[in-house]
Amino acid sequence: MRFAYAHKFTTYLMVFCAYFALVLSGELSPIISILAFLAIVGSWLWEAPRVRLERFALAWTIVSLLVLVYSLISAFTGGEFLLIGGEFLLYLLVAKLFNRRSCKDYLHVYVITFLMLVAGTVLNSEFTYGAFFLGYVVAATWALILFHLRREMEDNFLLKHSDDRPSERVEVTRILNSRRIVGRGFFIGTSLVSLTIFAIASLLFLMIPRIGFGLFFQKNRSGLTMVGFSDGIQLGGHGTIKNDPTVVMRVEIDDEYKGRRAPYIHWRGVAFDRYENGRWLRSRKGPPTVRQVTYPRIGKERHHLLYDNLETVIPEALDQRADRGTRQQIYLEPIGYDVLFGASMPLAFEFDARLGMRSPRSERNDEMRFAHAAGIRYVVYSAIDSPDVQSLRNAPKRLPPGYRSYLQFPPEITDRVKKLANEITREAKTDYDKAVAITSWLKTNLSYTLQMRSPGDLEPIDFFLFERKQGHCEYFSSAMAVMLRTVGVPARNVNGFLGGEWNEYNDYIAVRAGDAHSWVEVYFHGIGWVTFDPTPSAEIDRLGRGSSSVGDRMRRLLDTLRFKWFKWVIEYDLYRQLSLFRSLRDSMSGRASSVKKWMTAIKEWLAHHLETILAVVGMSIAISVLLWLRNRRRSHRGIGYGSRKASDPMSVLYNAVLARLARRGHRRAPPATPLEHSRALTRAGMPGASEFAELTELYYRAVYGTASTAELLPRAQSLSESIDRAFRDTKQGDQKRARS
Amino acid sequence: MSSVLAPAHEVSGEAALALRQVEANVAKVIRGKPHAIRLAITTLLARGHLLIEDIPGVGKTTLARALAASLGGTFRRIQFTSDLLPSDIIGVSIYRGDDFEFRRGPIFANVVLADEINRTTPRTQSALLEAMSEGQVSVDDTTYELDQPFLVLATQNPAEHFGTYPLPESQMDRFLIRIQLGYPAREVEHEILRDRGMADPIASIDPVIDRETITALQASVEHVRVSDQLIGYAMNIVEETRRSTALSVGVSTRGAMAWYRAAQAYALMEGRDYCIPDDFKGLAVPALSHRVMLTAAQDSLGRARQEAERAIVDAVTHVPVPT
Repeated sequence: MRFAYAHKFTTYLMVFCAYFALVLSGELSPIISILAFLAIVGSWLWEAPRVRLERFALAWTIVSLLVLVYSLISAFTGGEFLLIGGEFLLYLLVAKLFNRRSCKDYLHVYVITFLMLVAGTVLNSEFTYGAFFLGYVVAATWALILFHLRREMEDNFLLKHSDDRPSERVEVTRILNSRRIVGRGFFIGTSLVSLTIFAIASLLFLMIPRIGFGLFFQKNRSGLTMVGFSDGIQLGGHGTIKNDPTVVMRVEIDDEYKGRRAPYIHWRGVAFDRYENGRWLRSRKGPPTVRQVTYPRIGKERHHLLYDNLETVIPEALDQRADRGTRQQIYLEPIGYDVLFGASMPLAFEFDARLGMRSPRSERNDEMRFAHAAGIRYVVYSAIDSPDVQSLRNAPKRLPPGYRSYLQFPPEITDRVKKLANEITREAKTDYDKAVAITSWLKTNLSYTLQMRSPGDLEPIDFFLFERKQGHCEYFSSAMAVMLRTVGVPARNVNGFLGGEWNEYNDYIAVRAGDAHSWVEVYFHGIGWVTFDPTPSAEIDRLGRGSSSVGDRMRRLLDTLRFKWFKWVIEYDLYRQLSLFRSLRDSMSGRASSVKKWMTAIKEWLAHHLETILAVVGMSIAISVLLWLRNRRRSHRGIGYGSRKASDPMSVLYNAVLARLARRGHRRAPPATPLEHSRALTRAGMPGASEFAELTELYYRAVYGTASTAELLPRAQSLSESIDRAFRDTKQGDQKRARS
Repeated sequence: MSSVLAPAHEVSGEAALALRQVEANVAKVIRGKPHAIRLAITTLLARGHLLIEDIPGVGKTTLARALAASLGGTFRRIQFTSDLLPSDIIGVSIYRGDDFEFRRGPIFANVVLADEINRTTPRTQSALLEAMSEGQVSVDDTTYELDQPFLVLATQNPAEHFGTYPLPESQMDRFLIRIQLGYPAREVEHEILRDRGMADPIASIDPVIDRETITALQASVEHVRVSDQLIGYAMNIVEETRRSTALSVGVSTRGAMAWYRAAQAYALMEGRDYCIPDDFKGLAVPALSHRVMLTAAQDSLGRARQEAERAIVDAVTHVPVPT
């Protein structure tokens, strides 16, 4: 293969790997993909210098600018940001391929293909991507090595072949056309090297013991400071809540809650039972979380929340209950609190059984807490939809032991607050209707603000309801919980997050710090806790959920990359490693038994066909011996290079002498003829040089001339002996001299 | 003297003697250049022609004349000029009475010195080269055999560029061997200057070999034995020149054949009826270096000959000698 051709070929291999890695995602416009493909294929046949260069390059530049402008416009007018980027990359690639002349253009092509591969990472999560990625790794090794050689050659015009010769110019065209640089060996060798490195890297990634990612990532990942969410609620401060887009957790959820329904899920975290002095607290009297653990699968443990049910339930029933719920896989960032979140209301939390889950003593109010230093991945099963209204209305008014604390309110609650609560709920017969009445009253009569003002001496809820008439979610939820309590409905304040941003690139919900929210849960006997959110919803939608502005889409894209990295690289943990090894061992042992089966089958077959096999083996041996003999005879006739070497005794003798001389430091340089060697030895004053000169002559006469070896051999042998003797004598002489 | 058909090894003993005499004869007048003389005689034996690239005044003419005198043959010298015509070399048909009569040109001699061959036009050059390779000339449908033995010693001055027509590679190929005489060593030159007062040295040369012996020897060259191993060695070198990065065109098959014949002739010169690796190795530069084309980069440096020779030496030093 000519060098230039090999370089072009490997470059195109790289281009096509990147092209397919990107296009097989199916996200790009099919017309553009096909056009790009045709253009790439066409560019193979096109050698740029056929056209007047300046105009050609200028035309491409102008078209490139137009395409850039078009891409920017369509990106800003709501086109898919990433897709437009991918299509623009395709255009750039085609433009560069049509203008490839020197190394620099090839370098640009490599950069573009790399960017395409990166874009493919996000767009294409199919197996095809992996296949073409691997192809890209190999092709890139080839292309980059050849590229490097070519650049060295094109840049450095002087070359030094050996010390005694001056530097010479490199002939670029001739080398580009040379067939001697790149052969099969190059391709096989380099691809083996790159695949080996790839395999070893992958193996190392899989093999290095996982000691829990906390060890490696704790330092980097603990710096997330929370603005929105907090483990306690303190009303009455002043200032502005910031809209912090930092992602706190990412949730992969069942299909029915994907996309636009995602923003309305309440991610429940902390619950409070006690309100006093404008603060919500988790008091010691608050009922502890009741949970029961089941092991639905090996390596998994489920912690079921039992709520008001204090009796042990059969595990199967619990698992069935959980499986009926909506499944969420949650990747929680380190947020500085040990509380875990789940869509309201959570039925069960499922963990990898790796670290021995212990329930912390501080778990109360149906919270789930687990100390994690550097983020955690877990699964939650939740009953997201509220129970039907009729059963809520029919719920009996009874309280389990300890639930009295959900009716607590401090004495400083003003009378007008109680009076207002009574007024709002006058018409409502059931707890449910009361809760609905208060919710709608708060939503309609008060408005949302992030600007907080100090209530001064007033009780914060009083101040909020009667003076300020504006507040944020914590005021709304506190007011509602307290008002419900004053009318005898058990309620509690809950902190967590509301909704999140739907990431269309990788189908997950990104919950951000700015989504922090506060709402109310109301208790219904026999049913459990039901979520009520009194905050005016239009006002909550402040972070632009799923907004399609360029910046937001860009941010979502970056978040996708982070998430993928987290999920596939960082989350590869000890548990996964162990299970991988386990499955590997299982498959290996399975194979071992099948190998054994094969072996017996082969043995039987051998026993049956022994005679035939022996006959075949014997025949082939006989044939090879015959062939060998024939070749030998042919070589005796003198056809073939170096044929006399093996057979001629003179040649054998001469070579033996040469070898002995070489051991004594008189090695013959391969390009030196025997005569030159002998003369050089004579000049060097080697002992026995004259004998060697005569031997060389005999050798010449026997090997090249027509003289009979048999006649010359005795003389040659005696010469060989006298050369050895001459060496011995010199050595002894040296030793004698040394002794005396 | 032996017949043409005699086995080579019978010839070689006497041949060596006769050739030594020629060598000694020529060496009397060309002092300090034994290798050049030997190559010239090798060329003669191989029925080839010799190209001497050198500056004027280092004994080219003397060499040619001494060689001719030793053979007892005729010697002609043609000074090539830009207005020389092919007929000035080959001869011309003259109308006399009622018929044309062919008047033979200077090419009809045993030893022809074609001086400064690159001074004449390509047309005239090719007339000479054709005669050299065919061993005959054709004028007006009549073919005239050239005298045998026939040896052309062409010279060209590589230092001159203006008003010259350098021989293209395809025509250089017609010469079996290219040599340079070069300046004699200091002592030799001293000696030459001291003996300057002597009479014309060529006059003192007697023929030591007759033309029939030469043709017989020429015929026996092809009987010199070359072992397969040796052919393999030579082929390796040829292939190496084809692979060489300094050369755009390596040694052709015709070039390899010429080298082979030169090696045989050289072996005969040395009194052997078989070739040894040294024959090939020693003749690689004189027999091959004018048959290769340098790559553009090498050629442009204006030292084409040195570069070509270096490339050949390179190739030779890259090929191991079989033992």
